[in-house]
Amino acid sequence: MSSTPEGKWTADHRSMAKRRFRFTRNDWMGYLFSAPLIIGVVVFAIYPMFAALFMSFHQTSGLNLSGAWVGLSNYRYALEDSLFWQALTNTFMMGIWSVLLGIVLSFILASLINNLKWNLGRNFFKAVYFLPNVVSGVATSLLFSFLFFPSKEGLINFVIGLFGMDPVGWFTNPEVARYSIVLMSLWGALGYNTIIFLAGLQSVPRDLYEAADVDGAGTYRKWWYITIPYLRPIFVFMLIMGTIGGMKRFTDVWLIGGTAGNPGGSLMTVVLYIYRNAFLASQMGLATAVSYLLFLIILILTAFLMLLNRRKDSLD
Amino acid sequence: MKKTVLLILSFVLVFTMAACTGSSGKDVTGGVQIEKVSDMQGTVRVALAGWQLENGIDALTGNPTIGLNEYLDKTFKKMYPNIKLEVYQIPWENVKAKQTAMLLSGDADVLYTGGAFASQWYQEGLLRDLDDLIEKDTSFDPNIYLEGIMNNSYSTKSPDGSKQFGIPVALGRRMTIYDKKLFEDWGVDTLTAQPGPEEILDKAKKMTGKNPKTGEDNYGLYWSGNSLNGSTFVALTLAFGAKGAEGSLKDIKNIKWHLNTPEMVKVLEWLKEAAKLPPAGFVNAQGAENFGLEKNNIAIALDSTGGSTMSEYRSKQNKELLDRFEPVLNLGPKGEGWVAVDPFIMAKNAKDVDASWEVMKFLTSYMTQKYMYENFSNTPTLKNADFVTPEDKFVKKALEIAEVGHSELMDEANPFYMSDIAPAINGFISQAASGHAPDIQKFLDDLQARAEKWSANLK
Repeated sequence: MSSTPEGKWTADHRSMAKRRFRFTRNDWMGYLFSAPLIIGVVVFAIYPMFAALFMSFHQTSGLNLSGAWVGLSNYRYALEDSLFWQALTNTFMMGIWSVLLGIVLSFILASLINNLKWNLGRNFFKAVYFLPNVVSGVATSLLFSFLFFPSKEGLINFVIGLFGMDPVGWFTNPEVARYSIVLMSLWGALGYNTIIFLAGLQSVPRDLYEAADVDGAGTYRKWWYITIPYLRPIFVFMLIMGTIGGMKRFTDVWLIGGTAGNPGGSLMTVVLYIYRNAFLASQMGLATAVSYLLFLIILILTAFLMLLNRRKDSLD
Repeated sequence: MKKTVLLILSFVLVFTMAACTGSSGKDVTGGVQIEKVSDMQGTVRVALAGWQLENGIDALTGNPTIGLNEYLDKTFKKMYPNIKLEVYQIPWENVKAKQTAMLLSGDADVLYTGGAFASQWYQEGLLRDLDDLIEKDTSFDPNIYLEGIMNNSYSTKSPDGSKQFGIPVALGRRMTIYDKKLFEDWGVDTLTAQPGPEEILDKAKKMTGKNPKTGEDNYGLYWSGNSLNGSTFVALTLAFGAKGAEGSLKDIKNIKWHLNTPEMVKVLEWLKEAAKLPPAGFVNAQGAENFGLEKNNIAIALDSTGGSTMSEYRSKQNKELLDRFEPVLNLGPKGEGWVAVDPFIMAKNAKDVDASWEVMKFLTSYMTQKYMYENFSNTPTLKNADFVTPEDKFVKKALEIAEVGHSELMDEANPFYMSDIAPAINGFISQAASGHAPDIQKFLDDLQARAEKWSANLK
């Protein structure tokens, strides 16, 4: 049979297929070298994700992580809990302001630094604005709790007092506290965002600006019609990363407002809600259920942002 | 040149090693001759939350301190030469997760930890009952410890109070302290020895505003408005007889909540009034930085420790401050309040139970508590803590309060209390402070409904 050309082809094909499923020494070596990474990802990322999902359908108490199966009860409890919705509203509010102000301000800052002719000055400002980014969230919160001290002894209140204004309860007035947190997080994140935008600004081809110059475009028009459209992928990246970061807000609100999210629950966020249930009440089932709800919200938001970007692409 | 550099480096090395390895030469036994107690053999793994192992200097007073290692060398290792100790020091930050991991993996036999953690681990079956060990050991006297702490605390006793799983070794200090000078300035009678909530509120109101003598802004009252365990709220529930719940932590699903009772309404009415008196930062635990010091502007502080006044006294012998700040009992009907108790506990699967018990006994003994008080100002748990210096009136008052202490269901050992009640009360306080307190009955009805729903979700 194999003497015919067709038969020979089939036999060769079979032996090739056999060889394809036989591990060679090189294959083994490849798997061996990638094993630490694969094992790490499976053990520390994939397994916990599935374990948490499994746990969210169980009634757990303390270390008894495999309690009774309760179906969607934990999800239902969270969705019917007004505190969860309050936490979600606060998280959105602080997140939206942080992302919008963070992107706009850092882009303006990056544009200003990028336009500096003096190279040393450019590096100086890059370093100055990036410095807050290396300060830990804990240190930042402590620093701002003194800067925003609510009486006239607080530094910011002292300064505004010089202009005849009354002291502001930066972290003690529920109407103001969320915006104070936004200001604090802006201080920490502005440098990182600025560096990313700077990298993007330096990658805009010079010939586009030269062509615009020939057409008689001014600085503002070049910024609006060349720089901003060219940096759209970076804007989208910042928007997605900012949204994810904003939805996971915890350290600063916890350090300043405690487990109550004081003042008046205005600093209560979804992750703080998860923390309270997981580590104060040992209700891991409920906490993981809320974690998955948060995961879904972030996933939908991210997909929505990416879809917006794709639609814009198709119009182009 | 090379020889000189080498010589200098050698000297530096020798001096550094001498400085690092040398003992303090200080007596840690109070003159007691240490003798061998037993030839018992074994290895005990001890996990300590926050203890200082090496010799050092107290950051507040500047006084030298003797680390646990030197103390053990001079005492325990001579008393039990054949018991090998493996001591692990764990910083308080995230200590629960780390010690939980040690208990689950069987890497610790004896642990020193926070009372709430100990209580939770006991309910999860990770700790060993000590009753059999106490019963058969005639050398151990449980009566040396404060009654309220040894026998009435969730940190040392099982939820139904029938089993002993912890031996208390350190207390949290929480008492009412007032500033005599401000009382004099305002012409207000000083607090009685056991002031109730009404007396405190009444006098605090009189001392809020511009000081008639100095013209400075004064605040009549202070407490931490975002306390994790809501200790002031606990003391108020005791004072007003608001139990909050009925049942046992052993059967948490069937706890009956009483959060919207008339007594609880009184607690919140008091908080609503009192929240107008402290400095604004109290909702975020700020504003009392100078309490206990020269520049103080707060008349009465609840759940205060007296720590800054004692540190000033220890470092500068400032007797004036010590006379100015006076502690009194807490708010409860017998002067009780919420008392934090840090115990020693034994892992369920301790490898060498007998050796572990000897270690536990030693680390909770009079001698160790004296060492901890003298070096780190720890508050002891003993009935007869005669080593407390005569001027340390704050520790003495804390011991008085602890003597009458008892755990109720409004306690950090109660998961719903920690996750929802304490934060909700803190939220109420901050709303009251900003003049937007919610309707009290509706607030409590909501909390009650929430608690019932929480319990129902457990079933």
